[in-house]
Amino acid sequence: MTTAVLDCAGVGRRYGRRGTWGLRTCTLAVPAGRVVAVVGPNGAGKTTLLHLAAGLLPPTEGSVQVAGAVPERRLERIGFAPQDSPLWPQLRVRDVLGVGAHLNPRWDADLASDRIARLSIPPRARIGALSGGQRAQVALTLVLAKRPQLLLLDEPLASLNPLARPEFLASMFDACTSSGAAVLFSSHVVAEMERISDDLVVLAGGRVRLDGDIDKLRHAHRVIVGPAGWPTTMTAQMAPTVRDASGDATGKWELISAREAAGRTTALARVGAHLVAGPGLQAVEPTFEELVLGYLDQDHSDQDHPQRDPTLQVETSV
Amino acid sequence: MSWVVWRQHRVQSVWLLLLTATLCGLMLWVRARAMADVADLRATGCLPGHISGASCQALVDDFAVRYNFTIPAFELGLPLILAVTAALVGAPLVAREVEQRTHLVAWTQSVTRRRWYTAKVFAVGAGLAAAGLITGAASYYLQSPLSDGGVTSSRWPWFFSTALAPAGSTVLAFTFAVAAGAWLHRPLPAVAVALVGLLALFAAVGRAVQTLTPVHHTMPADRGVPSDAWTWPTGAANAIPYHPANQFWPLHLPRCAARPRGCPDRPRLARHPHTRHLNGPANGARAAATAHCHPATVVGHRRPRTSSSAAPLL
Repeated sequence: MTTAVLDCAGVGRRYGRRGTWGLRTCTLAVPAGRVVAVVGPNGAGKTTLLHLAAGLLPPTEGSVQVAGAVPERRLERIGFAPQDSPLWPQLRVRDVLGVGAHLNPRWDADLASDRIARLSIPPRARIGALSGGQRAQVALTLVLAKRPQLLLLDEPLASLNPLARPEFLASMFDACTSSGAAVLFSSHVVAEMERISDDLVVLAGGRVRLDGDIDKLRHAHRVIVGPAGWPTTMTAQMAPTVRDASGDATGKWELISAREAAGRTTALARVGAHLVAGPGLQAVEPTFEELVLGYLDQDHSDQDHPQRDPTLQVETSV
Repeated sequence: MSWVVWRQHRVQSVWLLLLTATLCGLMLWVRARAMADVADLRATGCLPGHISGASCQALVDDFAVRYNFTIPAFELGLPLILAVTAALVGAPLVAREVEQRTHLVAWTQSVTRRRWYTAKVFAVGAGLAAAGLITGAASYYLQSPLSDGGVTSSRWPWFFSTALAPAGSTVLAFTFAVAAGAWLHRPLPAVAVALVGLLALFAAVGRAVQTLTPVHHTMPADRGVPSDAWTWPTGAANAIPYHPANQFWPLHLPRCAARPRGCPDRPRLARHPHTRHLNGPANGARAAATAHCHPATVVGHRRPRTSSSAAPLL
């Protein structure tokens, strides 16, 4: 197994001595070359996770390691782009790049100037005079020219209009794949993320609800559509059956969440293998968006228990 | 890091340079005028020291009236201007970065937060200390015609605006402001907190200087105090505490203040009951900023109440 660039072991962060936990017992490993999307509602702990990984916050529990050491000792290998791309408004674009050049030993000045020129951002313009999108591009340039091994991008799409997003994502991930860096980025824009991400981490209420390779996660889940309220009112004959590759019934599946609309109930379920839907039920592999939203719909009343227990476990008779 | 510090603070540096030059220019101009007037007094024979008639009295009074303003203007004004400047420079050092959230960028470059802080605080603090030293030296130079030239002989009225004191108070105000900014995350409240803290400390240090450092006493009040001493009237008829002139530098270099045991002569009447009513209630603010010092000899204004004694100016 390749060593992880970012290794979080049960990491958590509490704000204040008796305050709320921004993140709890998060275990996560990001190997080189992977692009990991961190998804979750506001206040889920996305920014806390990124700040912990960037060495901006010390963890309250657990540990974070970047390339085998605490992030504070690996600053030259971490590129961090904070949310809303804050930059010194009174400085000019070239001065911001100068700050990067003077503070980073692996700085790639050609990459920085080429990128700024290609985006036709005037180097003499003051940051305060740039549009939000241009500022985001300068901030990303500052991060990329550092040539980091771990890129941490906090809501890189938030300040961009929908038209600029695909182009921004393309340039971002071109740059990343060419350098072979690991990328951890947070977003609540679920669309467009599947195309560029390898792994998915769903955060909610400060806990990891789901993480893994996106394709594998999709194979292991089903969207099951049935009559209204089917998960609770179904009969044994109706119940879905899970069979493994050899055709044996394994008998177990997990209901993640269910949503009722137009007289039908759509549920997301986690299954171990192939699933045969019962009569009146239709099961299909979820799209990326259905997968994410299904987990965000999940009842989080188990917030104080870190295990990703199923909210409902149905034993089916075969 | 030095380039970054320079790039972020070069506008401030230019303003600080202009301010220092203005203050020094002002003081040197006043000095040049005072020197000329002292020369005139000497030429008429009214200096040094002997009143030889009503015409000399009028000339000397005229000189005193013209330079009355210098003591309040520079004794109070110089440390105040420097302290406000230092607070305005120091408060945003951390607070504005946090307010603009640029600390997230600054602290995730390849330079540790500790180095970032160290470079910024030491570079900017050194600039402010230099400004304080230069203006302090100019102030020291300014006072010479007003205190050494045979007009008066005391350096004490200028204690907080001359020599090392301006540099010290400037660096202190800067330090307070940086800390308050890091604590409050907002520059303007940090400036206020730093200045209030500085005034409180000045008041406390003023009391400490009075009570912890060696003090000589003389009795009765109007006799035996050297004209170059720093005294404060207590209202008591039998004893006046004073700092002799040779304690000027030990008090400026905070040797005695920090280690009163190391000083040769410890105060015997340190807790004099009347020392707290030094300058009267109307001068409260002034008393705080000047640390309750009352000059033994002043140029013109605030003459000793006892008319029988030789006025120190003359």
